[in-house]
Amino acid sequence: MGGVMRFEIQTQRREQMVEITREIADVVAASGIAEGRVLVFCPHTTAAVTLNEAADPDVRTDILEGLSRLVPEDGGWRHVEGNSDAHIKSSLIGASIDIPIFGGRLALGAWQGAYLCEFDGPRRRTLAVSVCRS
Amino acid sequence: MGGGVMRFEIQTQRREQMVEITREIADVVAASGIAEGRVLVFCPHTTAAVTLNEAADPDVRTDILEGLFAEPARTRAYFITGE
Repeated sequence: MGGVMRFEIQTQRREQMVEITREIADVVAASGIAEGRVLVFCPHTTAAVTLNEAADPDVRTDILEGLSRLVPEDGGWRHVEGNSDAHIKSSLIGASIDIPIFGGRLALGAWQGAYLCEFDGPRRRTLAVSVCRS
Repeated sequence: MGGGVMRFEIQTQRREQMVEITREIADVVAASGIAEGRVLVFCPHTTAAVTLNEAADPDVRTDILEGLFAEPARTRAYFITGE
């Protein structure tokens, strides 16, 4: 079991990677589940969640820059809201991540952190976290 | 637990297309009777995929297909890691 917990993140810029590792770890700790996995789900179509390096912040800058080179904001898109680049990036990166839980802790790699990827901010985003025994 | 695996088929119409499958998934969930849990949607094909994105404006789907494949090929924006 474990159920679903939600938390909110206020992003500050149009494009931003906000670390959410501690929020996820807190939900896992509160669940009391020692072995299992945690699902982090992003119910937004212009944002995403991912795992990547939490040490050097330049990595996050390069990720956002790299995605923008692949998918430019001004790409001659059709969607009238003008944020199709954000929709495309959302599907590229994905709406959910699964992290294993060993010994009651997130089994992340030494350099890994969990991130909300904002592609059309600033906005108030809600993330859903579901912990379960596997 | 329970629930098991259900399968459904989709006939696509074009080479590249995003086909909404929300109702099919919701029907499987409803039939399972599971109130709290998670549903896995798995695509066992190597030239197709599943994703979540906007269901309101169909132009978003057109832009996604265009942006995922045509734009990167056009700009040749490939990367070589330098770490």
